[in-house]
Amino acid sequence: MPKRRLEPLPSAAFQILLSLTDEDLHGYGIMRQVEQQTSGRMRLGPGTLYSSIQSLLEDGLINEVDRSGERSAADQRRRYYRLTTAGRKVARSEAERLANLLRVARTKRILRGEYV
Amino acid sequence: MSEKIYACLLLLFPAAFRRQYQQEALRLLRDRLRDEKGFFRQLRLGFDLLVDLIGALPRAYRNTYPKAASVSPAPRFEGAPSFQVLQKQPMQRGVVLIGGFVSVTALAAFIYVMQGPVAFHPADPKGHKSPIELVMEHLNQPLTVDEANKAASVAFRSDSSSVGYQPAGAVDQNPNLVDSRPAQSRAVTTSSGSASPQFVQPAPIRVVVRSAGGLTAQSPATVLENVSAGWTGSWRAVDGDPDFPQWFSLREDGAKLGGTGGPNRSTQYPIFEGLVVGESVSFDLQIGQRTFIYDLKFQDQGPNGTVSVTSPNGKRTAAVRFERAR
Repeated sequence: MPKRRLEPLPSAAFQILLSLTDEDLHGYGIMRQVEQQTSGRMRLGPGTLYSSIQSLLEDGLINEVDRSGERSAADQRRRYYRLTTAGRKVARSEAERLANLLRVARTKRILRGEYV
Repeated sequence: MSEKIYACLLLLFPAAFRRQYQQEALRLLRDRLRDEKGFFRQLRLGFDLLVDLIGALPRAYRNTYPKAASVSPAPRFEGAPSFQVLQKQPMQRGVVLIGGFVSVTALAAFIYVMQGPVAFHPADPKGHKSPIELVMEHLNQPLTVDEANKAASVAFRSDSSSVGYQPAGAVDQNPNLVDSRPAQSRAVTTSSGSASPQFVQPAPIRVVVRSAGGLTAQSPATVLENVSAGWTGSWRAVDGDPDFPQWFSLREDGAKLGGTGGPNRSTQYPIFEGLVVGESVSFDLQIGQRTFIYDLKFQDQGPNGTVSVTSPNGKRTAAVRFERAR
């Protein structure tokens, strides 16, 4: 199996995968979703966003969706992206890896209070 | 940060990235400019874009991008050459100028080279010869008398209807080279009443090698003379000596040479160790206690060479020259 370019998965790419788990989004929608799910701590700029999208496309973790039947002309010009099955697996494994880290941190009593 | 400034900053990204995502990036910027109003937000947006630019550039250059959309393929036929336009952009003027300059220079160099004389090397300096040269050299090699006789015999048998000796094929008798020797020396006899002549001994011949193309190649090396005849000559070892006359009646039998020799026609002694190899003729003559060893070479009019005289008084060597006896 060829080695993925996104290994280990960068934080921006992981956030993009998470943002696409519920629905297909265009670039600006992904940026807003990432900002929202990180409570405003991560705002993806155009360069980072589209470089990460290109990497995810190359690895087959997301794909571009044809939205020609979209309601408005502005939406038709935008590119929408969808999470693939492989992308969902990668996102799940990355989340499990982070969960294991959390478990380790919990046993080490690093994390306290309402975070855990 | 205005859209124009960011568009200029996007020039730092790879062309493939811009081709793929420039419009999306500018649209995203417009959306953020529209949504993030106020000085502080605008300042934060400018800072975000600068940080994003620094962080995203390396990744943008690491990525691979799909090739430009291919030109709609023209219908191609199997085996037929076709051209496809790889670049839609017209050629730049500099490219046209450089290409034209290089082409003109190459053409001028070609014309200059072709105007010069071309050296002709008739032979390989390493000594290698072409196949044609090898064949011509082989054809020009002198034939031994045996080979000539064999060739003549074959030619004679192949043309039994002809009377007399008319070699045909590869060995031919050139009518321009008529032998002046006596008819009996030609050693061709015919059976009385018989239509087919009997080949007794090959006639004195001049071998003319006829090439396959019909051209006749004749060189001195290809002309063989039969030494069966009477020969006269003389030798003198030193200037004070008188001329010692010679008279020989030689009889050639293949590569062997027999006959007699002596100071004149009436005083003859048998020769021995006679040998004919190509143009070389050698034989010995014993007269009393003197032994004459002849080493001759058949040249223009007859055998020329040296004779070594060994006697109880010593050994002397002299030049000797023969001509056909009349």
